Amino acid sequence: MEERTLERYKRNISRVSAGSLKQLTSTGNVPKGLEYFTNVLKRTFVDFEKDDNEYIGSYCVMVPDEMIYAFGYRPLRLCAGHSVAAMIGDEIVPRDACPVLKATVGFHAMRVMPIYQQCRLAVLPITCDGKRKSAALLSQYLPVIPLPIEMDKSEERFAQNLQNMHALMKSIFKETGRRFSNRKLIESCKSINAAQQEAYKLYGLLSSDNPPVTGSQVMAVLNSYCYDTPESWAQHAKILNAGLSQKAAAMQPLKREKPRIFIAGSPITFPNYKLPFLMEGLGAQIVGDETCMAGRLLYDPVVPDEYSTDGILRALTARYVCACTCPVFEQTDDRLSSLTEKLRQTKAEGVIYHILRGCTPYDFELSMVEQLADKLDIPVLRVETDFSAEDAEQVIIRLEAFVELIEQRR
Amino acid sequence: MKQRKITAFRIMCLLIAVVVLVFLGSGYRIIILLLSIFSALVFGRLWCGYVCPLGFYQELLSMLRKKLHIPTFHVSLKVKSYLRPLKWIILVYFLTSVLFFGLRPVMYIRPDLSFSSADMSIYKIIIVGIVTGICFLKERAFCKYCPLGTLRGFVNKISFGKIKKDGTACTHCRACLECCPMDIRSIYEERNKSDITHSDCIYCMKCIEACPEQDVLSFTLFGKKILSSKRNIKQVK
Repeated sequence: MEERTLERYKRNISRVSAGSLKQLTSTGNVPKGLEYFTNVLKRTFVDFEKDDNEYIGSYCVMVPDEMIYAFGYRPLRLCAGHSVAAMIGDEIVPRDACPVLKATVGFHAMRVMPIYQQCRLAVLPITCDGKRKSAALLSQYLPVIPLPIEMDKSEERFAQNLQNMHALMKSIFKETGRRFSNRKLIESCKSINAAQQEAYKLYGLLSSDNPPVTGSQVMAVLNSYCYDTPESWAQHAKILNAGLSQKAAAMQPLKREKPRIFIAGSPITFPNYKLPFLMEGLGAQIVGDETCMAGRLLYDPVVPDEYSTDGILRALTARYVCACTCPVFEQTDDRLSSLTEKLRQTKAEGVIYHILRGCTPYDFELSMVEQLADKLDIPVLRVETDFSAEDAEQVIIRLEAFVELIEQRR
Repeated sequence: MKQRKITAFRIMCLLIAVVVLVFLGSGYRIIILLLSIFSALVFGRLWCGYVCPLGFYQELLSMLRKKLHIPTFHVSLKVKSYLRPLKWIILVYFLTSVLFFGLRPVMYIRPDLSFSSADMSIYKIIIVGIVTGICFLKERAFCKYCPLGTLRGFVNKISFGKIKKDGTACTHCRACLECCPMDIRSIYEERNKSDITHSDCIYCMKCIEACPEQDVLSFTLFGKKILSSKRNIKQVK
């Protein structure tokens, strides 16, 4: 690839990322301790910093990070949300594929991100059709281990999923030659659990009656977990949470409460915070989300009954597959009931159903979510969009009307 | 991962019960029998989880296994369906031998009774060894087929102690089923019923300890909530 093209890519990627970061910190409501997390994202997406870590890339929330740590590698979530990368990927994957795939493949094809180059291999769970087909495309750039996931959550299929996890362990060993360590697995379980505990507190603060933090900031904090170690992330999240709790205690109740919006649907990944930014610009407060890159990235804990390798793998399978509410599964009741519960906990007044163009599994469940929201008497707005900023004006008109509707209903 | 306060309390109960029943209780057989019958009629299998010395023995074996990081074995659904009648066969065998022949089959299984009785035979040692081996590899394996437990299990449905579940708030993370020593699947799968007390349940409360969702699983005694699940994930030592 030409030097000039590479430079142009780099310039554009850092421009878009820096824009999102600037918007995160320009609201005048910047909590103490947020800087660390924006710096993590800045290091990765703006400065293109190289480090000495060896990574194993993973897609979806169904690949256990604990297992990657047990091999002495660092996990790197490769699901991307970058509009520049999506444009490059557009030439490689079909036009109707979802932009997450386009951006992911695009980043590999561009070869500008050092962390993508540092990946020893990638683990790709076979979840939606896009992921299934992109395995072959990605294998041009790096070794890919497909991880079959059974789409049925029954007891029989659980045994199969557990076997697949065991097989994944063997495949990583075969590919890297590194031995798996039970001690490291237990240690990573502990440190990830500590990070989850902080994340859980952060979810709680965001869904409180008068949140001291904006939804997009929380999304960015959670997203930065993918590019950091759990220990350091948890340590700084603790500082952030302490600061936020203090701030919440000192805050005066608002005269006119902000409309509380819950974001459901397709993943929202850094730097594609178009939708939360637009919502917040209209005076709404995002109180939670169920997307796999923020709201449920660190939600369910791993609870092993025993610390033998098999025991932990069972707990990992249970947490990463059984508790997952991705719409690719056959059973929809898990997702609907967890959505009901989250809407109740966050006291949401409206649901934005975000659909990335081409993400059909989420689109299929829209009617069911609408029925559910109807029962709970919460309006739903379906917004179909992608990573580009071109449709921002069209989207903002609809969002404006939606916010107005919520205020009218009070 | 979580603080195992309830389990620590339960182990204490079992320890005290063992001391009382095995070492001190030999003179008060009738009182213990009446107490056992009364608790069975009121609380179902609560006795199994908090008093039974054989249960304690099995629990010690499991604790040792977990310390050594030896994985347990999991029986497939097919094998489980074949093993299901075994529980009833053992119950019938137990009842006939007690009622018609005056035998005490428990003698052959409980290590303390088996070894303290006068006629030690190789046959007895083998049976104790097999039961011990199975219980070492599978938590509370004997309890799944225990005839006394089966009898107490009839009362579980009308017992005053109940395990309750708030199905809508459950995230199906499977933590409860993974730690259940009796492998009760309904606790994980059930979403609609609130009373999920199963006839196999020994009220060990491990599911309530493991459940990471606030107030999803709870234990009620005489309709009053005694314990409920919390999100207090503590570091493992």
